[in-house]
Amino acid sequence: MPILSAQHLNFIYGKGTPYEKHAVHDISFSVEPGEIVGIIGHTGSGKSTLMQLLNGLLKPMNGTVTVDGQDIWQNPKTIRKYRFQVGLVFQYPEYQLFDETVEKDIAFGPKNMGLTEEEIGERVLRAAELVDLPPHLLPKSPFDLSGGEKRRAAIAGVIAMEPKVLILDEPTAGLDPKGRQTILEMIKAYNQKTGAAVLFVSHNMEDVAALAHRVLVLSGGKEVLFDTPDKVFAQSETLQNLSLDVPVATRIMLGLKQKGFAVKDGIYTLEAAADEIARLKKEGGANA
Amino acid sequence: MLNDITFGQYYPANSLMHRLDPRVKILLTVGLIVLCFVARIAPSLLLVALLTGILLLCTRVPVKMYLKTLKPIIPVILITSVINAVYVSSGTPLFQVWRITVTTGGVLTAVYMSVRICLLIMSSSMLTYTTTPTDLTDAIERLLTPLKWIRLDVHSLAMMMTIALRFIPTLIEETEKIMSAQKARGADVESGGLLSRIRALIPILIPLLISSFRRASELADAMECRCYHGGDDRTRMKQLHLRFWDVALLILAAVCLGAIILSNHYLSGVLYSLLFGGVL
Ligand SMILES: Nc1ncnc2c1ncn2[C@@H]1O[C@H](COP(=O)(O)OP(=O)(O)OP(=O)(O)O)[C@@H](O)[C@H]1O
Ligand SMILES: [Mg+2]
Repeated sequence: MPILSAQHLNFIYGKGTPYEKHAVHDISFSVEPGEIVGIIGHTGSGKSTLMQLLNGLLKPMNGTVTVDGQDIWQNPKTIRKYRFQVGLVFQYPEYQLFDETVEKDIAFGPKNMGLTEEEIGERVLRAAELVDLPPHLLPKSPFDLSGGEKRRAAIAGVIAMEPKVLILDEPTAGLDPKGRQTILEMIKAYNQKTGAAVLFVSHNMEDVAALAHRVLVLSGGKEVLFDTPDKVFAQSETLQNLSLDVPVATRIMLGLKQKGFAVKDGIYTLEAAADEIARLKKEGGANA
Repeated sequence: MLNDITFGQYYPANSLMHRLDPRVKILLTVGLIVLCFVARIAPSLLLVALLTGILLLCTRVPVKMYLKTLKPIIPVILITSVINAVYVSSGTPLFQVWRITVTTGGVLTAVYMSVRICLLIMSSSMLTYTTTPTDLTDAIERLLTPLKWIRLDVHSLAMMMTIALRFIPTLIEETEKIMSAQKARGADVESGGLLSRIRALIPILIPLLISSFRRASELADAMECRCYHGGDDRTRMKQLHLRFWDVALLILAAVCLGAIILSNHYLSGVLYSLLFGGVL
């Protein structure tokens, strides 16, 4: 059974005003436990809106969101419960830090869940370790951390709630390559250690290629593709029409193909591309 | 929730009023408000209402939007009406409740006052519906320019107003974002007692304050980088020019003002005797 599923979701901002905007248009998809889903789309395609629909921060005009088979809006009074189960990390989450110490800030979510002090303490340590925040930073003020550290502290604040589904909205935006790598590794680690499903929005196709088991492509609030990365990146033309890119590896393979080399389809990671080029060279050598 | 604030809400449309010079619109609005209070007899008040109505129709903003602005002031209208009806005792007594006598004069004053308040609200929303906040402050700055002679720094005042207006939507957006982020971590701002609600605001207010200060200092830096140094010798990118309709409406308003003042003076006696001659 899918852990998270959306059926015919629709959302309109400013309904009934001249500023009306149909931001999410009839979107249906489902996520299996333990799966990592990458979400891509041009700016304004409704990614952030969709993410907020999935954990009940926004209420859809139409359609349902189910977590573990339960409709989250069945009883609006219990909506908070689902926000703990579907953890959402906003874009630039470092701007939400507020408490005196990093430790207290990470504990905010678990505290709202009504856990015991002991359990909260354990979760804070576990979350900090997972996001690679050294223990000596925990008693510091969150405003004294570096940008990358702030970002990780904020993500730890959501991870500490140990959600069954973790959603991250552009988690690597504005970070240097090393900071980006740390975040990607952290996403993978959380997925593997807890078996939670992870959804992440990204403008970086390399990130999506490296992590995602499936990719959801949005355009103008509509669902364009929802498939495995090899099938999605094989449609480079469709993606380019939506002002999206394909990973470097795919671009190299496309270029080789145009030059007349018999390369395989569905290659989107640099490792696979290197293997394929090695194979070509070997075969070329055999032919010569 | 925060989207309900209708303060200074611009309603985009393509109409004569939208294209009018913002200075003229401010003068017209002020003129209409003055007219409302100058008009002391029914026919002149009707004339003002007619004028306001025509101008409102010229804005192509749905009438519904104007009625919406009246809703919050219904209590004000009711209270002033009751007070007027009770305290003004001229004309003939209509009926008596306990020791309070309600007279024709009282009822008339109450009706006039209600009409005036409605017209006042509608004409000021006509201004804000058809003028963007930046145009509005720009026009205010130009209208206030003569005050430079009494050493008032009109430019800085207008700049502060522009910046404040410009950042209201940004601040609202920011608040919503931070609120959503904290709600995603289970923050509960909507239930609980007063104290717990105030405490629940801390996770929202602190990030909001910090980001406002950050924004302010960034904006100051950006302005200095572009050599902003106040209003001296500053030229304008957008020049305002009076066009046919601007002048025509100003003249029309002036004529109405004159006509109503005159009719107050000369007509009121005649009209009163015509209308209420039988009653009095
Ligand atoms: N609070 C809001 N009020 C009104 N319209 C909004 C609001 N938030 C988003 N929108 C509009 O809805 C559409 C989708 O926005 P959304 O933020 O979901 O896009 P996105 O895919 O996340 O874009 P980005 O990649 O830039 O983050 C946009 O056209 C945007 O202008
Ligand atoms: Mg977004």
